[in-house]
Amino acid sequence: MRNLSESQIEFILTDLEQKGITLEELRTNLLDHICCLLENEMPEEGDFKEQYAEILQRFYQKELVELQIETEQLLTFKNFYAMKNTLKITGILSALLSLMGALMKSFHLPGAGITLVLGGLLFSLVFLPLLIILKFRDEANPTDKWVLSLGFTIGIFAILGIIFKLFSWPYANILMGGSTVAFVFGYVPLYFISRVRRPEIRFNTTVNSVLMMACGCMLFSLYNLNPNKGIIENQKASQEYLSESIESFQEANTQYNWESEIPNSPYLASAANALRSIDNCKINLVMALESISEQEARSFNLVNLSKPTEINIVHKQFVLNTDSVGAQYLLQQLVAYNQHSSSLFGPNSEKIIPVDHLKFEGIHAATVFQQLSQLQWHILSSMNSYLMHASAEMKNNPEQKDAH
Amino acid sequence: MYICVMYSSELIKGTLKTIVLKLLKEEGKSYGYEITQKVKEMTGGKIILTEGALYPTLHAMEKNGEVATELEYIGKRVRKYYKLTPQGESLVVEKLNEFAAFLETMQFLLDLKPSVPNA
Repeated sequence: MRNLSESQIEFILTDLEQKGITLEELRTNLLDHICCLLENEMPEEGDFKEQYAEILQRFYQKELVELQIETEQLLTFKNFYAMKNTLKITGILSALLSLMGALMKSFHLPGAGITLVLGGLLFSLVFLPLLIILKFRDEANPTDKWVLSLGFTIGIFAILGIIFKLFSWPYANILMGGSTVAFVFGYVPLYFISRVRRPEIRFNTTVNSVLMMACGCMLFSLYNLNPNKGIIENQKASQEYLSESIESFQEANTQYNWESEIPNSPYLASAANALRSIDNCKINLVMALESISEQEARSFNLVNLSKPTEINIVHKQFVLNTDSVGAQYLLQQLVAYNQHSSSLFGPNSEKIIPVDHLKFEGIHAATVFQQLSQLQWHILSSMNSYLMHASAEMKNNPEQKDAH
Repeated sequence: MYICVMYSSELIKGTLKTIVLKLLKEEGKSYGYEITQKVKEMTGGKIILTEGALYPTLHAMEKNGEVATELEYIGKRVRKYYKLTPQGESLVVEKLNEFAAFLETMQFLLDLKPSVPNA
């Protein structure tokens, strides 16, 4: 029996590593095995390298690295059955949760959102990735493997996009739109081209491609659905009417010349402050939305808004703005106006603005302008009735002028 | 990945793990080369395990917790002895029963024996 020298052992170790056996544990195992074979089965007088090369051939069919690949595959897929079970369970669970969530949402039951999101997350982050891993292992055809995995990946992004949309998180539109475009113009043609040449699946491929294309296009047409033209036209008409009413009230109120006639009325002062604040908010928003100067913004007709459905600029420039052109400051002015109205006309007067019900967050630009105009209209009309009443009183009793 | 002197590889594919488990149960502990030699010896050279099949299986069994290892240092070489864990012990019984039932079914199916099996 031969005894291997340290340099020979070193040679084997280096050679194994060079031939792709990078897993240390596997390498030491193979080293011992090869040494045993050389010591026990090879004649002592033979050439070491020739004998080693002869022995090594017994370990593989094409090249030695396949031994490591098989080891890695066995290690990676040791949980193969657990993965298949998880796939089944998450598949059923996500389907059930999505169905329940959809039903709950239709009936406006609490918890609908969270149920839908759980179903979607389970489907997109557990079920589909597992499906991709299993496809990679099971699918024999390499083209099918990649094409189907691409489809599942697009599916992951599409579902995440829908979840983002439900929660009004950023990039929802990019995720949804991007994945729909990728599906319709990338995946479906790829699926069709890669399979249609195989006669045994030609019919199924054609039917599936048509179905997917139809569904994808429907989805694509649903994406980025803005309010329809009718709603926008109605909104414009309403805005136009409000603007005209505001103008006529402003003219009527100016004719009372109240600033000199009734200069010390706290109610009128607070109303004027509130109106100024609303005007400033509107001008600032128009400047930001239309990218125009302050002067142009002052004479801008709100009916001609170029981006009536814009939300982000409104959020940034108005809702989150803490300056005198922001929502917070405006609300303060309205509260002050309400206090004076309440002390003058009583707490249940129609002149009080329901500030608690005002909501500016997540609302389109056109709707915000409509709300602001309605506030203006509300204050101006209240002012108008007050001035009418006050001027009548003053005509009857001129000494009361200072009492207001 | 077997070199089978007598049997086709398709015939005994899937039984490598059972063979290794049973051998370790009998031997207590063993290393790769010894396992191949034992199988060769016990089957009279009819089944020879190839290294290409044995080592991936041993590594997977170790990771699954079915076998534990002990290292023996021989100069620069490290010999890894494999022995069954409690989980491996129960797996041997399971695998042997499964294979016995399979054999009985095959005997019945292929009409190799007149009696009808229970399995």
